[in-house]
Amino acid sequence: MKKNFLKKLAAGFLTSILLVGTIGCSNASDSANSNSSKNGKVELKIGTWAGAQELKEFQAIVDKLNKESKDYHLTIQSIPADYYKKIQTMAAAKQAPDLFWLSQEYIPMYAELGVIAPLDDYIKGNPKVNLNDYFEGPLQVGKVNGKLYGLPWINQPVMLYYNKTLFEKSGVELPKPDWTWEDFEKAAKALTKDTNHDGKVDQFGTVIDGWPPIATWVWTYGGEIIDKNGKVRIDEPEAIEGIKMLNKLINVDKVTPTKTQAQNTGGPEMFKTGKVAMFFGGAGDDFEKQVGNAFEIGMTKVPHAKTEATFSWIAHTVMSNNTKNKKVAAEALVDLTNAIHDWKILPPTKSDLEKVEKIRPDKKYAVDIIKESAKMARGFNNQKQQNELDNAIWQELYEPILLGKKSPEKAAKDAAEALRKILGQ
Amino acid sequence: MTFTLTNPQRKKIQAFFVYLFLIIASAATVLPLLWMISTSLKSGDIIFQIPPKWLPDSFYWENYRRAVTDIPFFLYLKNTVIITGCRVFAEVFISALVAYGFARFDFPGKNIWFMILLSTIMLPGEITMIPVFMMFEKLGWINTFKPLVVPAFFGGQAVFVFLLRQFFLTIPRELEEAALIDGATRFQIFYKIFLPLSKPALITIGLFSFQGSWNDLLGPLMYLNDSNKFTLQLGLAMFNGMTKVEWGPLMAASILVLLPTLLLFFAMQKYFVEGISLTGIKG
Repeated sequence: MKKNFLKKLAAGFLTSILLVGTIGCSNASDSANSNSSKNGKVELKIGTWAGAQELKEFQAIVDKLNKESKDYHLTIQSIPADYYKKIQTMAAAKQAPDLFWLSQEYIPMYAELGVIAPLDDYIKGNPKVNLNDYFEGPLQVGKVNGKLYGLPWINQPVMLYYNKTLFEKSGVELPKPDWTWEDFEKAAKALTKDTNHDGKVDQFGTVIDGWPPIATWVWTYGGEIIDKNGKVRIDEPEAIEGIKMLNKLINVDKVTPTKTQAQNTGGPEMFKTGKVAMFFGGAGDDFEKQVGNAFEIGMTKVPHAKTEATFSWIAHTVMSNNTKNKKVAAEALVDLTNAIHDWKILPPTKSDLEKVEKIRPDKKYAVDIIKESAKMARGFNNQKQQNELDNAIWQELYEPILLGKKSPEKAAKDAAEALRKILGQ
Repeated sequence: MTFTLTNPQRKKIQAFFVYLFLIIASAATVLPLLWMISTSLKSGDIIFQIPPKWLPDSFYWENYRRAVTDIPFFLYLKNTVIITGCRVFAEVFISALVAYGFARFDFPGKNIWFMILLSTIMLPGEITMIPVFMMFEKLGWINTFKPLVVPAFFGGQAVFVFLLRQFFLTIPRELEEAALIDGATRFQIFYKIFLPLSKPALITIGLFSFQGSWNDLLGPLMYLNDSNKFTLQLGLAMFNGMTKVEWGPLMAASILVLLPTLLLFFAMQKYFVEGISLTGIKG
C-alpha cells in the first residue's frame, strides 16, 4: 500500500512536469513569429479594458479591420482588471502592447515618461484622419507639449438626467437646456422631501457624492482649476463662486443625500430607484435600458452660470514607443479609432455625431441635446501628476465640502496650495 | 421591590441573547451569499429595486447562459484547473519536503535560511511585481502558465513551509529512529512516516493552496496576455467593466466559479477542522 503511495506521488510529479513542459513548448513556437506573420503583415497588439460582451463586439471590429488591411494584423490583448497596473508593469519591461486605450488623465504622464509616441509625423499624410473634424475638447487632452499623442475614440459629456415622472408628480417644471444653477437649485429644493412623513427625507433633488467633478461648477462659473499653461487657478474668485454654489446645494439646501447614504447605495442606483430626481451622468450611460418602464427619463444639458461647459470622459488610442514599425502601427491606430467611432457613443468627431441615433436607438429622444453638449464638452488640462492632483482636490476641497467641514474659500485656498506644491509652483 | 431571577430564568435569558447574537451574525454572513444567488436570477432592471425582492417572479436563467457564453467559460475553467492542479500539488508536496529539511536536518546556516524564508512572507507582492515581471520576461515566460506554476516547484509557499515545519517538529523522533534501525532511508521516512502522519495538515494546506490559486487574479492578470489563456478570475473581472458592471451575469458566473471551492470545502471539512486544531491556522 505504501509503494502505491510513492507511485502515485511520482506519477503526479511527472504529470505536472510534463504539463508545464508542454505548455512551455506550445508557447515557444508562437512567440517566435511575433513581429510579422506568415503573410508579411505586421503583427500588432491592442490593449483594451473591454470585457465580456463588449470584448466580443470589439473583436468583431478588429476582425473586420484585419480582413481589410494588407499591412497589419491586430490581436486584442484584453486586460479585464487593474488596467493601469498591468500596462505600467508591461511598460517598465518594455513590453507594452503596440497600441492601447488610455484615459485622458494618464496621457501626459505616459508621454513624458516616453512610454507612448507622438503621432504627428505618422498621421500627417493619412487621408483617413481629419483633425479638424474632431471636437476641440477631446483632441486637446491628447496634446502634450504641442505634440499629439493619441486619437480620441470616445467623448462622453456629463449630462443632466431627470426623472420625468417624479417631476410631473410633484408639479415641478421640467429642466430646460437654458437652466442656470439657481433654476436647478429651486427645482432640487422642491423635489427634496419626506414622502412617507416619518420625519426623514427620503426623496432628493439630486445626488452629489464626489461625482460629478468639481469642474462642473468651477467651469460654468467661468473659473478654471488648472489652466492650459499649468497654472493653478482654483483660488480665483470665479472658481470660488462655483464652489460656493456646490457648497450651498450640499450644506444649505441639503438637496442631496449625505455622503454615507449616497455611497452606501450608490448615486446611480438611487436615481434608478426613483429616490433622486436629477442625476449627473455620462451621455452614453444606459439608464434608459436599466430603468425600463419604472419611470420616464429625460435628459438635458448641465446648468450653467456665466458660461456653458461640461466635463467629458475622454479616452484615446495611443501608440507604444516600443512598437517596431511605427508607420504601420499609426495606420492601424487611425483605422481602429475610426472604426470605434461607429461603435461607442459619443464619437469625438463632428461628422460621426450623426451616427449616435443609429448606434444607440435608446438615446433617440435626446440626440439633439447630446449633440449640443458634445460641442462644449472638454476634459481637464491634464498634468503629468494628474492622479496626485485629483487626489489633492478630493482631499482638500471636495470631501471637506461634502462633510461641511470647510468654507468654500478655505477649501479653495487649501486645494490651491496643495496643487501648487505638487506642481512645484 | 427587587426583582430576582431564578437560575433557570437567568440561563434562559442568557441563551436568548446568545442566540440572538448568533442569528444576527450568521445572517450578516449568509445574506451576501443569498443576495448573490438571488441577483443571479434577476434581470437587469429589477436588481436594485427597493424594497428588494428576494425571490423574483420568474427566474431569469439568461444570466447563467450569458455567464458561460459571454466569456469562454469552459476554456477558462480548463486553464484554471491546469494551473491550480499543478500549483496545489507542488505547493503541498514541495512545502512538505522543504519543511522536513528544516525540521529534521542540521546544515550550516539553517536558522538564517529559515529567517530568510520567513522574511519573504512579510514582503508585499506590489514591491516585487515589476522586477519579477522583468525576470520572467527575460526568461521568455510571459504569456505562458510557467510564471504561475514553476515557482511553486521551487520551495512552495513560505507560509506553508513554516506551518508544516512546526507540525513536523511535534512528531516524535522515536518513530524515525525505529525506521532507521529497520533500514529506511531519509526520504522513505519522509513519505512513509511524515506524510501519512500529517494528512490533516497537508489537506488543510492543500485547501488553502487551492483557494489561493483558484482565486488568484493578479498573477494571471500580469503574466497572461492572450485571452484564450485566461483563468476564471479574469473571466469574472470581464463582467466588472470599467464603465459598467453586469451584475446579473457577474453573480451567475461567480456562483459557478465558487461551486468547486464550496464542494471541496464540504468534502474535506472533517480533515480541515482537524488540521486547523493541529496547526493552529484558520482562514
